[in-house]
Amino acid sequence: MKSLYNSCFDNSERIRILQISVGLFVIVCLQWGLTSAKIDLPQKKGNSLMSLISDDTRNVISSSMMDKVESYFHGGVKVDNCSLDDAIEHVMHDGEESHGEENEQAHHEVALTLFNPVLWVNSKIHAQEHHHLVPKRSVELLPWIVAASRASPHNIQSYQIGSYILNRMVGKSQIAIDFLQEGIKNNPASFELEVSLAEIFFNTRKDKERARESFEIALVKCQALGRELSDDEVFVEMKIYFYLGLIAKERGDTNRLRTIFQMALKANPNNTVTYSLTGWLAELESKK
Amino acid sequence: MSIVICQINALIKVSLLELYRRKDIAVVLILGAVLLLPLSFVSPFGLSGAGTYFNEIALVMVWLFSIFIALGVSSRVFPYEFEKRTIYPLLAKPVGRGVVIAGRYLGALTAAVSALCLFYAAYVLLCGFKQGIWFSEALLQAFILHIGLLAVVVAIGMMGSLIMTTSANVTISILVVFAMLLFGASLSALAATQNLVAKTVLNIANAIAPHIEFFDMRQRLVHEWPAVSWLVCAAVMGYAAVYSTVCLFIADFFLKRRRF
Repeated sequence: MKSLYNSCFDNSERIRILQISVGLFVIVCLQWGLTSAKIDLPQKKGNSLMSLISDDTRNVISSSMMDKVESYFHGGVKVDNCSLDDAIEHVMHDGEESHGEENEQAHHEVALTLFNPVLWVNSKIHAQEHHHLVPKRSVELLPWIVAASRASPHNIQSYQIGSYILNRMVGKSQIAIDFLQEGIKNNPASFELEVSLAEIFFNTRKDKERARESFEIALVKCQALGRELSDDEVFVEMKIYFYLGLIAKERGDTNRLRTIFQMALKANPNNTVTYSLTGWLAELESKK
Repeated sequence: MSIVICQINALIKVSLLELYRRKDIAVVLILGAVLLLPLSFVSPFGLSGAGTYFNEIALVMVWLFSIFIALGVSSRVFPYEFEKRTIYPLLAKPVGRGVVIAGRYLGALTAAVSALCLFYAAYVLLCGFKQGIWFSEALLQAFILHIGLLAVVVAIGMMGSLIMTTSANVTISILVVFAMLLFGASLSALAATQNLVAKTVLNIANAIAPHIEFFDMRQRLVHEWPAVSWLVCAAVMGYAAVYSTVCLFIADFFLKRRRF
């Protein structure tokens, strides 16, 4: 065996094999140490080093795909002061497609003020103003939405925006529902996706019962989080109270409306939703 | 004068033959087809009509492949001649070193542009069938500016091949070209926010580095923005001509200094 080993490898190869073996040993030790250590790590217990690295990479790729969606929506221009959500709302409600000529004007002024030929050429070659994609062309955003959700199935934003585009801009509510259900399957703890699904049932399908079921599930998931919610999450939480309150009002269910109102009051007493719930509750109680 | 033209013409023919003999173009065309054909059949959620993504990816490939072909052709011309010693019989003839530089440059540029024509033909065919748009003014401008880009890239590659080794030249050229493509437009703004030393360095880089982003019409083409003014196109092509000439003068200087 030893003579076979000696005949197969010369000295430099033996050293290389030794180096690789030591390297592999160190990696295995590190991996074992990290997974068995009794310390608070930022990642979930049981996650392997490789899955952590690959998950982070996938999240970065997925986020860049969503940046692409934003860029496509603005005609290939990166815009800092016009978020995708706001812009979609803007187009859907006002039908307005273009703004931001002031950016181009400012760019030209800077180029002329500084007498900078590089800035001048760049401002001419690359479009500076942005326009919004018209709803009938919104199908152009879908390949990047699919790519973002495939790159990272935990990118909740890709499911939210994708379902919104499919439902509101393309007019395919069933595909939007299927896409959201896929998102919920991949992110069972996300109450935001349940809310998006419930909104489609409520606003598009006019299926109040299915909407109520989904809002109730969203409320349970939201309460199960057991941590302080971010501003965005509070906004979604207040949406749940709003819709559940509205459904309870339409059904004349005073007790449920009162419960919802108390939860909203506890979550955010100065929110407009809480004020609306107060009014609805007073309305229902006065009818009694 | 006619002798010089004949000499340059002969050098161009040799460069063209060399490019097609090495089959680089066939490789990148096959690679492009392998990557793009499956993409062309993608229909997200079963909905048809999305073509912008395909247009963008195809253009990115045209850009990448054309830059690699241009750098590959230009950076190998002189090192190959020195290695094979074919430069000696060439210089032994009554051909000036300036003519050799000009002939080799035009040869490499013609080869790169011929490859570019193939890439654009494939791009127009694919996007025409996918989106139904066969020609636009912006497409013509993009193609012309792309030729300007190749003129600069080939000149940089050729200049570098006379100053450093082939691998160092290719690496540095690729880094410079892609760095300027990505960050060239924001160098001025970046310089304005830095301290004096960094500001000076960035301003020098802004002044001497090739502004590859000038030639980048992809955004206008992909997102169907209107074409730019032809005056701006002429200005950019003028920049390409001046930049390439300066690079070739530097290359000529180093070739003349070279001891064989």
